[in-house]
Parts: sequence; structure tokens; C-alpha cells
Amino acid sequence: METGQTKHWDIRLVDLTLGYEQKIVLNKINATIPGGKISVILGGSGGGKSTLLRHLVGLRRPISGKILLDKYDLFALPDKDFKALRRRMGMLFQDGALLGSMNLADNIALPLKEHTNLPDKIIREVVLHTLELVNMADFAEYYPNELSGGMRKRAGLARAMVTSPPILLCDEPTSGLDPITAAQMDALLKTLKKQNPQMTIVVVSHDLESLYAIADHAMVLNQGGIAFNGSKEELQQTEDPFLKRFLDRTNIHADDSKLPRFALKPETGEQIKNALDEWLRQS
Amino acid sequence: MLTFFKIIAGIPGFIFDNFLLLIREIGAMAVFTAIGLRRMFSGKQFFKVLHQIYFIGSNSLFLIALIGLFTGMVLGLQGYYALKTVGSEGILGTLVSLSLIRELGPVLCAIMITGRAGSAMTAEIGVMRISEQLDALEVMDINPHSFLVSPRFTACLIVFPLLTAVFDVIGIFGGYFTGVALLDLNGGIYLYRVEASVMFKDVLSGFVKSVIFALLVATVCCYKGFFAHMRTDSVGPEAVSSATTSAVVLSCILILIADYVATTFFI
Ligand SMILES: Nc1ncnc2c1ncn2[C@@H]1O[C@H](COP(=O)(O)OP(=O)(O)OP(=O)(O)O)[C@@H](O)[C@H]1O
Ligand SMILES: [Mg+2]
Repeated sequence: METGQTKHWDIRLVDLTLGYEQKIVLNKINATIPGGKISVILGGSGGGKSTLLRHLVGLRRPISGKILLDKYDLFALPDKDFKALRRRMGMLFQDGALLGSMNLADNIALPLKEHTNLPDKIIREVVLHTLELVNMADFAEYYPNELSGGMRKRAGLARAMVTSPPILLCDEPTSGLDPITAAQMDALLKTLKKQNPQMTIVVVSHDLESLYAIADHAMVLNQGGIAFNGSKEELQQTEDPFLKRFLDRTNIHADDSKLPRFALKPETGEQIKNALDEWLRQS
Repeated sequence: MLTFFKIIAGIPGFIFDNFLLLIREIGAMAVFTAIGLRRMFSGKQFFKVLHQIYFIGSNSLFLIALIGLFTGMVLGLQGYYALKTVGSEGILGTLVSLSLIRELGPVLCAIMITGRAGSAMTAEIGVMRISEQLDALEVMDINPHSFLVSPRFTACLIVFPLLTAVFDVIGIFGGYFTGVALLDLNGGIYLYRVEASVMFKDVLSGFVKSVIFALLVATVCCYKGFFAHMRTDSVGPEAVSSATTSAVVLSCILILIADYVATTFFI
């Protein structure tokens, strides 16, 4: 299989149905995520964004349909070729998924240590450099559970980046970060892209700021299907009412006409209040 | 009455289903063992194995020594009075050394290491599984078998026989301590009996047993942690805890069964 670094490959989803044993999360979706660009996947919480990424790296098999990378069907390849493809992907998991028994430096050095014979000194240099990029160089000796969620996320990104994969998948790189650090992460992804023009970056996000800041291409998931797939400019000019509401947060409260499904009965409210009052009175 | 018959009629099906499950589990474990063994010789194992030897072996050393000492001492005590009734307390050395080397050493050692290190292996791998760390390894193209399972296999195969040897030696001195220092046996006779009655075959059988137990414990404990997310009885942290419990229980049962089978070959 030819796996030149210089080509960039489109990721095509063909009649793709994904889900778990009990439920289908995305149903028969068709879309192309263009290679060599930054694509942002948007969608509500629980909409299947993480599930889609997990399938893109081949951690789970789709229920039906295909994922094509260029002309290669990810799930029909022989194991060896599949691994060769996956080596070209890096992934930031939603909560970092750093190895808990290693400190950050070792975590980030891990792919290099396992796959190359570089001397420790050089690996250390690369690790510190990568940590510096995500602003975490001071925490090289910390263990994952000594860090905040946002810090773990940044370290996770460092680990995904350290092998310079041509395809980088990021699950919510900016959620849980303060606006300044989030902006830095966006800037980092853009710089990374600028330095490697061939790189395909897929970012899952609910963050509209990031969408506007980094995206070339956008895809919106809604209710098991694709509500939008196209360039950022097209998305901004859309007339679709759902998308407009999604993009314009100020309009969201327009939905309060819907009655809640589980309204509290008045006597239940009273009961709860009494029980809690009693609990508060005990000292 | 009808329900009673229904229950009775359901029993064969129930047994059959569980039997199938059992067969499937055994098959899966056999494959797991094979992969783990094959990956023992994939690259970059040395430091991982060293770390595991430290974790499984070195950390269990004190415990093993302590258990060995008391096992030997109590054997000495019981053996002395039992043998005295037939006037042959002189062969206490034979009794203590053979029962330790052939049976108690490998078995008790394996059970203690299961409790101490096997449970930790299951819990560690299980936690990694439910927190997506194994997925992360896979995405980084690091084979979880080579990274987590094989080093533990190798370490167990090295550590079990060594700890068993320590256990045996300390146990024999425990017997000496009771028989000679506390009771009135002649020390020379005790040691002479030990030397005269322990044959190479006895040592070999103890060694082979400890290797078999090592493989059993490593397989069961790694397997249960590795598939903690597939458990049907519980999810999340509870799945890790029940995986750990079942790994320890199953390891102990298998140790005792394997011990019986191995003994029939060596007797
Ligand atoms: N391991 C799992 N087993 C069964 N169902 C799952 C599993 N993981 C996720 N789901 C279900 O799949 C759906 C999509 O989940 P997913 O994590 O992909 O959402 P998401 O779009 O990433 O949400 P968020 O933005 O909150 O991270 C959810 O309804 C969830 O209940
Ligand atoms: Mg998610």
C-alpha cells in the first residue's frame, strides 16, 4: 500500500450506521470530510460525535456502511494495512485518556519510545518541546490525576501530536478550558496546520468560537443524521431554521414553549421540600 | 405443581447454556494465553518485565518469607506429635521438606501471590480499560498485549519459581526451628533426613507446578482485567471490582485443580 506523507486523503462516510448494542447513534449518514483541511464536527451533547471519532480510528466497527480513507475501506483492509493507516492518525480523547501510572513526560514519550529507537535525550527534547506547545512544560513530572481536566486535555493533545500524524482527530480540545487557553489551543491547531499544509485535522466541538476561528469545513450532526456538511461560509449563510438556532445562541430560549415531559406534581414538590427541610434541621 | 415441573424442565437448558458459556470462556482464555506468550518476544520488553518483576516479586518477598516460616513451623509442630505416636519423629525432616517442596510451597505461594499481585494486575488493567486507556494505546498502535499482558506473563514465569524456592527453604528452617529449637529433636538428624529424602524429582515437580501456576494466574488475572468492560453482571468501577474478585477466586480454584492433575503425573 502506498502511504506517501505528501498526499492528503478525504475521509468519506458511506451509508454509515453506527451505534452500540442497544441503540443506533448515527443512521445511514453520507458525507465527505475533506483532506488537508480543518473540519469541525458540531452537534448536541450525546449526538454521537465521540462515537463517530471512535469509528474513524477503528476502535469500533460500524453496524453497516463504510468509512473510506481515500480509496481504502478502513474495515475491509487486511490487519497490516489497517495498522499502517492508523499509524497516520493521532487522536485526542475527550478526557485525555492519559496512562494514569506514568507522568506526563513518559506519557508523551510513549509513542516515540515504543516505535522508534531514538536516544532518550532526543525523545526528552521532543517531549518538552511538544509540552511547551500546549503550554504544559512546567508539568512534565506531574501524574495525570494531579492535573485539572483542561490540563489533561492539553497533555492529551501533546501526546496525539508528538508523532506528527497526517490525520489528527481531536475530541473537544477546547471544552473545559478558559477563554484564553481555548483561544491558544485554537491558535495552536491553526499553527500546526500552517506548518503542515497536508495535515487533515478533525475537531469535535460545541464551541462556536472555535468553529469561527479554525474551521475550513463544518459538519453538524443532529438526531442521528447530518444536518449540514459544507464550508464554514456556507454554514454562516444558511437559512435552515435548526442551524440558525444552533449558530445563534441568543435564539435558543425560543424553545421554552415545549412542556417538560416529567413535570413535578404539586404534592411531590411539597414532599421533597419537607424531607429536605427535616434533613437540614438535623445538625 | 406446574411451575415446579417448569423449573425442573428448565434445568438441563440452564446447565447447557452455562456449559457453553464456560467452554467459550475457556477458549477465549486459551487464545489470550497464546497471544500473550507469543508477544513475550516482541521488542522493548526488558524494562517492563523488570518493573513487573519488582512489582510482583520483590514486593511479595517479605510476605512469602513470613508465610513460609509459619507454614514450616506448624508443619514441624503437627508432624512432630503425629510421628511421635508411632515413635518415628526422627523423620520429621522428610515430612516437612517433602510436603513443602512437592505441595505446599508451590500452592501456597501461588495463592499468596494471586491475592497480593494478581488482584492488583486485574484491577490495574481493568481501570485502564474502563477509562479508555487501552483504547488510547491501540490508537497509538501500541499493542495492549505486548504492553500490558506479556511483561506480566514473563515476570510471573520468573517470579513464581523463585518465590516458591524461597518459601521452601524458609519453610524447612521453620520446621527445624520448631522441631529442634523448641522441641527435642536432634538437629543433625533433621537436616540429614532433609538431605536424604529430597530427590531431584521432587524439586522438579515443585518447579513445574510453580511454572504452571504462574501461567494460570497471569492468564486469569490479566484476562479478567482486560475484558472488564464486557462483564454482564456489572458496569464501571463495579465491573473492575467484580473482575478482581472473580480473578482471585478463579485463580485459586484453578491452582488447586491443576495441582491435583500435576501431582498425578509426578507420583
Ligand atoms: N459505551 C457506550 N455504550 C452504549 N452507549 C453509548 C456508549 N457511549 C456512548 N453511548 C451513547 O451514544 C450516544 C452518543 O454518545 P457520544 O459520546 O458519541 O456523544 P457526543 O456527541 O460525543 O456527546 P458530548 O458532546 O457530550 O461528548 C449517547 O446517547 C450515549 O448514550
Ligand atoms: Mg463526546
